[in-house]
Amino acid sequence: MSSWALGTAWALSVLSLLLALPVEYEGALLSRTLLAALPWIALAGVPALRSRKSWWSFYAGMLPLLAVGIGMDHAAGEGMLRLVRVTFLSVVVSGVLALAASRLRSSLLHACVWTALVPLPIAWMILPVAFSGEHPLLIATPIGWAVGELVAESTQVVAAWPYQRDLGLLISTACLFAFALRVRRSEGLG
Amino acid sequence: MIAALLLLASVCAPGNSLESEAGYRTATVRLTGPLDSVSFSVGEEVLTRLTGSLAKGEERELLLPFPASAANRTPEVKVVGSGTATFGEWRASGDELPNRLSRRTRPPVSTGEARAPTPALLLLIASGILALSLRRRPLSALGVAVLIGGLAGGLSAREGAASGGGVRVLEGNSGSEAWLTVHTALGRLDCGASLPARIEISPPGRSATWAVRLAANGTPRYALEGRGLALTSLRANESGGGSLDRENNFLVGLSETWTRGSAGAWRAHGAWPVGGSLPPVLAEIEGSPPGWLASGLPQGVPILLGRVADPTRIDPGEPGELSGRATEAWLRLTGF
Repeated sequence: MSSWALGTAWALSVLSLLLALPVEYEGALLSRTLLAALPWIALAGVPALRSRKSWWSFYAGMLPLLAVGIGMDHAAGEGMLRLVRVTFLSVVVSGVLALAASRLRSSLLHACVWTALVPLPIAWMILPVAFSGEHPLLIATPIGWAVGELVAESTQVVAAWPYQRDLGLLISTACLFAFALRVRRSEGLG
Repeated sequence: MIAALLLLASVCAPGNSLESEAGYRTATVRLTGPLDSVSFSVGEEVLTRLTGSLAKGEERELLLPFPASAANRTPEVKVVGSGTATFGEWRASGDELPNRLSRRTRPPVSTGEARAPTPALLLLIASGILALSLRRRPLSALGVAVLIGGLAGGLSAREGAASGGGVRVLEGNSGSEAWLTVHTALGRLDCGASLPARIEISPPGRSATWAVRLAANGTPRYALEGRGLALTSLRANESGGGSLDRENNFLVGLSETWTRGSAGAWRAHGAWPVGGSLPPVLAEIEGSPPGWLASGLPQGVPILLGRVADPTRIDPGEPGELSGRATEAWLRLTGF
């Protein structure tokens, strides 16, 4: 993760905690943990020339911000199970994205994949394209997952298996990592 | 004719009438240690969750609350520990409430917005500077981040909990001994050490989970949890020990006070401490009471509205313990 990406993610994350935002949105709690994690998820995989040794050093900036988000969510009545799940996935996914970025460095292919996983879903969600509802491919991207979980429905009455979204995220992240390894090997980066 | 008979039967059936009145049911549960927690569920829905350690061989019988929707069904019991928990029998729940008082406007569910507390933000900035200075030693930076994160997270949770207790209103009618305390919170309603007379959940039809925690002295503390739900409890006669009239306030200290006479205009009186008489009018227009507090009140009746100076002191004798913590507390008295 480059210095500018690290600084931007940190500043955006602090801003998300600093702003006085509604506790709930349409009857569900707004997750401050995920709001703080979003910039890190978005920027962890930015293609950059970085040393392999420090791919995880951004956690030093990310973890305290997530901890404040967890504290706020817990105080607002968020269940511990969901807090642990959301934090775990945010940390794992951003870590894998950062690791993939550090392994691929400035590979053009990686830049394309990162664009498909982060800026494109953001544009898809923001721009008024002919799209409504949750597209399965969009949900499976890290950004799509994080946005979908920001105001997740109550888990008091749960479906038979309510973690399809998480599974999609883990699969897409694992695919990205496998792809990073493959490209790295074929391009002789290692 | 059949419909009328069914209606009559539903009104006369003691279980059903109590269920609709109280909004929850109670049942006896016998616990035998060692155990750490017990959950009661129907299908995937957790009805009641009890936490608190019982030592080996320790036995206890408790009256636990359950959602009204679970009435007369036997929930599945899951115990964490090698002890046992036996579901007993359903009991009647809920007490009589003063009718007129319980029909007044409910408090708002949420104070609206939240932000990270300033000390936590300062810690975040400190951690950012430290992480920057330790960038060549990522392991040390990570250690410092975890330490500061734990501290900042704890601060946020504590401060957020202090501001997320909901809103409580002490409802009264001058000349009557009947008092009513209405407590509304979003997501989690702390009910303290005693069960309320009635529970209301909004939006209707949704179900919340009862969370019961056994304190170190064995006293159960009750809370109702439901993400995104407005949860309200109603209790009768909690503040019957005090009295309030224009000459003396022996009930509760008020930081803001408004009165409405027969003319219908609100008048602000400012703070009214315990032991003093009603302060003089400050201004005719300035400082109107909150809309939700002043709405739905009977016309032509003198009214006193006030903001309680210390929300934890609304329960004489056992502040905050009896009926749970609130962030804001208000007083609404008719016939004043």
